[in-house]
Amino acid sequence: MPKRIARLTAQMDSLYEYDREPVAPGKLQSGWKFAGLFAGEHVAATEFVIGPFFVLHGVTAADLISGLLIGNALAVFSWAFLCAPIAVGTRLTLYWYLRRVAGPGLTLIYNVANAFLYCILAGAMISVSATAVGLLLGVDIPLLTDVLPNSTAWVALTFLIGVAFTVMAILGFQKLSKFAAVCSPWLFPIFVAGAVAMLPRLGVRPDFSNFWEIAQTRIWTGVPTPGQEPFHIWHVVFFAWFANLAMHVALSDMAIFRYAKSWRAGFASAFGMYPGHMLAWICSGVMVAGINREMNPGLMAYEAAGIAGLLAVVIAGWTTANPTLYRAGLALQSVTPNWPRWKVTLVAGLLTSVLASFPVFFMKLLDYVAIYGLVLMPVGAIVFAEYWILPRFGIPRHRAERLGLTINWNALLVWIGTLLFCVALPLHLYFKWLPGYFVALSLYSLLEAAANRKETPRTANAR
Amino acid sequence: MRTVLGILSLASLAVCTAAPFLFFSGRLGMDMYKTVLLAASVAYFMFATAWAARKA
Repeated sequence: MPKRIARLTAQMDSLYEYDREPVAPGKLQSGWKFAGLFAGEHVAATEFVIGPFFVLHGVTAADLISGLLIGNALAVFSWAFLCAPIAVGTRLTLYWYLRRVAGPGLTLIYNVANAFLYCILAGAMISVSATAVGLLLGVDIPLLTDVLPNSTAWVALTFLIGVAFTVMAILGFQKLSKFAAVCSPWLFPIFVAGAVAMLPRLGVRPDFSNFWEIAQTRIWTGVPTPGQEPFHIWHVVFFAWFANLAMHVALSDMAIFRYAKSWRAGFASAFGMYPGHMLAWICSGVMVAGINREMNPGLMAYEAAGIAGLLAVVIAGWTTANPTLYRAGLALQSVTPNWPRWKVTLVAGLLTSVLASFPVFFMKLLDYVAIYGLVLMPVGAIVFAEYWILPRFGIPRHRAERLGLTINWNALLVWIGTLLFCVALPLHLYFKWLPGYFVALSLYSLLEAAANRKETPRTANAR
Repeated sequence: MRTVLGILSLASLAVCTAAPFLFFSGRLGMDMYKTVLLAASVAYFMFATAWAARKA
């Protein structure tokens, strides 16, 4: 077994070899580069679903605006104060830093967990795109309460779209990434266009004089759709905060910020949160109110922006599923030694295509996003404790690397223990991660301190 | 040429943004608004793709 793990981790290391070395000073980028990157990356197919869900959950207009302002600010602070300083300090990706902290075995587990989470996310994006294509083909879209596929036609449609996305990801990931960069600036006007075009239908006068009144009485009314739990300001705050938890608190975006000249580049994430998430969620909320709160992103976009709207749904799904499939393939390749990239991306894509036919993943997207962040959050806490807390107490860092451990069992215990604690915590799913984060920080620091105490006499005796 | 393509891309985006406001103010009908939006979107993709290709 240890031999197999060693073989798998060696395979995994070779895949990430290109970013093994810390970023050289000559490759550092200015803050504006990050602003452009964030502005482009944070308008995705899922935005066509998240904004409408706030409407369906009966958020009031005031709660939505204030919740999004606060929650997105907290997300920006998480990038600026948690993620960017560690990335700039280490100049490493999370993968390589986690390897030093938790050992190659745990990094392998993290990779596989991440791959499955990516597949589900890509599946949700395929489902969103399928609502647009399905509208043209006359395929019935699943209902809000559906968990299983509602028809053979829906299964066939999502599978075919999934396979098409997968083939394109295999054939031209790099070209598609460039195409995605071209698409991003166009998606903003489409969201705005869709929302503005729905306003007359909702009764907003051409001088905008009654906009706020309509927003309160026709869009974000405070009354949830039957079957949807009511949301208040704190749900909005926490959702906006954890929507990218895997990236900021769980530190995946170390891969980006290791190129920053200063940790202050973390504030550039505001360009993804305010013109990105906030604008898109508000606009898609207006659009769904214009079609009587029916959760059907394809229909919503078509009614609001015609064929251009349908194109936006498909392209947003495609361009965001593409890197997600690529990342899933990359993560899975670590456990499929000697498989070429196309083969592993195909397997990840087929798995994703099957998952995409289950409407539960996009009809419960908000909950899934919460779970996705929650599962990876303890890893961020472990790395944060390792980087900031252990040195403050004179505890040596990087125990796995120093002692040549395959798995830092303290890290694994903290990861599993924190998740069990979060599951048992009698709080709404959206609020569980925050106490869990502090539990993970404390528990890991204590366990590492204890391990260090055990280790010190041994080292002293050896001398 | 690259500058011209860049300007045309931005102009297409401006039309995409302006079209819904013209509809909202009653100066365009719904069908015309959707047609203009689609035409400007197609134009944007043509110009922006060509611009990006020349950049490379």
